[in-house]
Amino acid sequence: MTKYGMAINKTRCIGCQTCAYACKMQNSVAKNVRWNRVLSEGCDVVDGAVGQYPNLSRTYLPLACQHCENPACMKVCPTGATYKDEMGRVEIDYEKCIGCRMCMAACPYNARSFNWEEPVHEPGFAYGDKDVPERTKGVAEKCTMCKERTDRGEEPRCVQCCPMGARVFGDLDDPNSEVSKVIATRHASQLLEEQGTHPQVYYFE
Amino acid sequence: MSESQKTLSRRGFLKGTGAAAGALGLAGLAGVGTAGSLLSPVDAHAESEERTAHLCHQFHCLTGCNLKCTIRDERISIIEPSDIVKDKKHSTICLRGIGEVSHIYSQDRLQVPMKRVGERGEGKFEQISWDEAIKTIADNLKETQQKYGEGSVFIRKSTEAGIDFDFITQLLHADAGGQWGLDRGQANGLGPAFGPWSYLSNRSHWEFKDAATIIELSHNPLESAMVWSRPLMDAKEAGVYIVAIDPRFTGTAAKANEWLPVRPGTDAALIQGMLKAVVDNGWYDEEFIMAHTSCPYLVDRATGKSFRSSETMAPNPAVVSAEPVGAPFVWDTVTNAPALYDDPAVVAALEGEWTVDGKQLVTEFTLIKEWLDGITLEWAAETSGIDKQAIVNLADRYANNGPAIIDIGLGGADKYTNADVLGHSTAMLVALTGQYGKKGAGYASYCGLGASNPSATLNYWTLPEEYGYGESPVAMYDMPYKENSIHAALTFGDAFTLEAGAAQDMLNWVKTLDFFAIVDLYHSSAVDYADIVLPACTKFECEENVKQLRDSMGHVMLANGMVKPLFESKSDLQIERLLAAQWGLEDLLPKTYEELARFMLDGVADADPRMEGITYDALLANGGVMALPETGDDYMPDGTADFFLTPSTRIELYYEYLADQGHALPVYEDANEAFETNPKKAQYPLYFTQGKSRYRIHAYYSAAEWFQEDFGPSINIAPEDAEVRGISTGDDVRVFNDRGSFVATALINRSLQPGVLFMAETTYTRYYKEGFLQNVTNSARLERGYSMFFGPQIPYNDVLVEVEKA
Repeated sequence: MTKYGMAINKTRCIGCQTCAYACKMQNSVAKNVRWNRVLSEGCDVVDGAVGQYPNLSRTYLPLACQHCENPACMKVCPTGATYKDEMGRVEIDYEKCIGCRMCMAACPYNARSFNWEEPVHEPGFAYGDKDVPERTKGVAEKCTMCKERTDRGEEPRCVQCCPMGARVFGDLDDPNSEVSKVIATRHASQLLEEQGTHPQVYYFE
Repeated sequence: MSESQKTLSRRGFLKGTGAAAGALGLAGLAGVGTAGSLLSPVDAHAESEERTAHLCHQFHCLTGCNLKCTIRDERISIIEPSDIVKDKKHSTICLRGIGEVSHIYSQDRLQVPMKRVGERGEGKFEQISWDEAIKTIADNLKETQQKYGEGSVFIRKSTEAGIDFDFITQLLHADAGGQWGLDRGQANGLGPAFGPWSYLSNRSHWEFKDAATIIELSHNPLESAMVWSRPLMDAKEAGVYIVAIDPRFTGTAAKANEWLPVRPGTDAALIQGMLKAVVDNGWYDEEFIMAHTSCPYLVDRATGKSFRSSETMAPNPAVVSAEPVGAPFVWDTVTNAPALYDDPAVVAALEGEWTVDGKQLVTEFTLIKEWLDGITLEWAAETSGIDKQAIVNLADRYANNGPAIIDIGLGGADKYTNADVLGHSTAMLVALTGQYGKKGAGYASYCGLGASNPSATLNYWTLPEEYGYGESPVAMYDMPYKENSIHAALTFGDAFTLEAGAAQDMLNWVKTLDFFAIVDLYHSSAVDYADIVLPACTKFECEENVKQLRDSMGHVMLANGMVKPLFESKSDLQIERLLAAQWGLEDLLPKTYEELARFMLDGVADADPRMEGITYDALLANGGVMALPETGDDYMPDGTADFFLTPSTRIELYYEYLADQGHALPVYEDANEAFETNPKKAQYPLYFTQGKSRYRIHAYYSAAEWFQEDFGPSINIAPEDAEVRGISTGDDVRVFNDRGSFVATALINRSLQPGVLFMAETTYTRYYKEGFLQNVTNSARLERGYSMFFGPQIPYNDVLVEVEKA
């Protein structure tokens, strides 16, 4: 079996937002929607700081769908629109999505967006990968682990574009894959492990 | 909270997405008569035609990534790292490259030639034809030159537009505006010591991991140029100790082991504290000093002039005049007499004082020690705001703990009038500790320029010799203040508000011009003041298949696979040709970018065998990218300390040319306005600083709608400063001083030291509610700067302001 996953090096992440825009471009993500974002942890402004001056710190958390092994979103989806595919990715069948937003309430990572209106694209044409399906008003959407690219044997766009080389993508079921090795040797951890969702996105420092 | 900072927790997600939906409702309007209307709505991709193109992106972040563009239905739909660069570590991109998908098609692109119909500054225009626009510009420039002489026309191309060629300025013998006054403050100060171009490194930044310590001095590569900051993160992972000296808790400071939050404009005091500790504790490298520096050279104590030979001369590339000087003397301890510095038989004294023919001669090192005797660590600490022990510890670490690098920013500390003192002080610290010219050591701006990559040999298209730049007796940034003969101006890009401080002074002067035309891509701040506006196209667009030929990252890159210019825009080359034709001179220019690129490569292999095989046709056959032979991981230039562009070819620390002004040694002085004891602080208590943002290169990318979702004209303020003024995040606040004011959005940010404001460098006035940040910036000039290599610098950060809720 193949189980795609990712490990993100938080030491190397400089919060540059390149992955966030790479995702927006690749997936033709509409105005004011983001599938992938880089949080300044504990800050209420981007690039803020925590602590008391001058003892400050700032860490970044790149955040998108965690492609959980035990996805909370899938369990609550009443139509089966959210599913775990054969490559271990959590995907959405937009045809089946009825816009109930149960998945959004269930996701502990706040990884999903909802199209309350018909998506608006700036620039006003279909930028991005030609194989990425359009989303319409009334459906939920999120990171697909770049399904279209990974199906073609390419790495996700955020991995390809990271200027720091902070992201490693691969097959978690293959103990010899780079991602598996990094997770094992760098003591990678998962977000909100206590939720029991078992994310396939790992973080390490 | 913007979508991009939607937190991990689910609180308010419904409300948040609802707000986003509200914003979407407005967006429909934006398509009318703008980029959107030219382009059909989102449609199915299935039957679309795709092709790929490659080009070299920005020079201006000093990166120059090769980008692979997927063009679908003649629209640039995907931009990704190049897959055809030979050296895969240069297969890079950052958000600015990706954001071009938004930026190229921005609503704020200039689309058609326009003429002004309102007052200057009012921003009222009507569309005209290219013929009318070009003729109007030519008629006005001709009339001005007939009336006031050739030097009455000022023409300047922006950095990016000026790469490869600048024909029209030379064809008209126009004034190109002299010194730029940008980002060379430290370079002014370190140049006489290490050579004028030594602000660029002579070793590779891929060597960062070999250092024990890296000091990022007023440098924030993690936000200014992400792509070439990768070696810094390699160094961090390798355990190198990184120190960030910056008034602000920058992205780079956040990754550093230690952050030293200097007060704005006082970096030199901290460095001088380190110098004090190094000399007092004997942490200097005497062997290096004797072999590679001017420390043993003799100075006449009474006159402050160097004691030089009147017979043996040395060329002096370190001063603008390049006039040769006498070779310096040292004190020979064998003969007990002065001797030429490079006489191999001489054993020179490092310290001492002697009387010769009634002259009191003293070594530079003795003078340096005497000068440092007058400095205390307490003063350094009090002035810079950095704890005394932290200064000593850093000096110890820098001098005594293995190879160390000082990586300086171009910008930041350069934007204070006393930046030359910082450059000179740091040059002295580096020279005395010998942290130069060996693996893991160095001092410069480690950016995409310098020695990090091998460079290509290319021909430069020249005009017949009767054409050339006119005189530039007054730098552009001084034109509002100094008598000059300029009556008409043509700028490619917004020179007037980007390349000068105190915008009210500059724009009031621009209003007095008989004529001003601008060529630009976007509706920049200066556009509203122009009589004629010409729309240029981006580097992704061209009338022909190819565009710029560039030397970047060890590769020769020919932009190819262009899309046609959007709207009625044209390429810079065709705009220059149209203008030249008005004087009948267009045949002196290449007809096309292809002709220019072929010329640039023609016969270069005869002069430089490394260029063998890199021809126009070979480039096109290779997607437009070919590597130079040395390119690859093995390329690691061995920059030494054996030769410097100074008269004695050693590091020269005593600046004789500034002796009359009291700055032969880097005597500390306050910045012009930004200093603690300035009485102006009673009225304007806050330091106003600006710097780079990852979302921009200066003002560029301001018009990208994707970035606008996250980033606009906002002013970062420390919580305690906000609280006493009743300011909350999101408030409109007025920032003001005697020079002017503007209104921006407040962001309360703990990353600021109390008393200091920060804003990303200027953006277009149209994005502000009122005014823009250059209204408050400083136009003071350092008088001694006029005798320096890069002239006085614009002190953009040497600014005090007050802030109030608007």
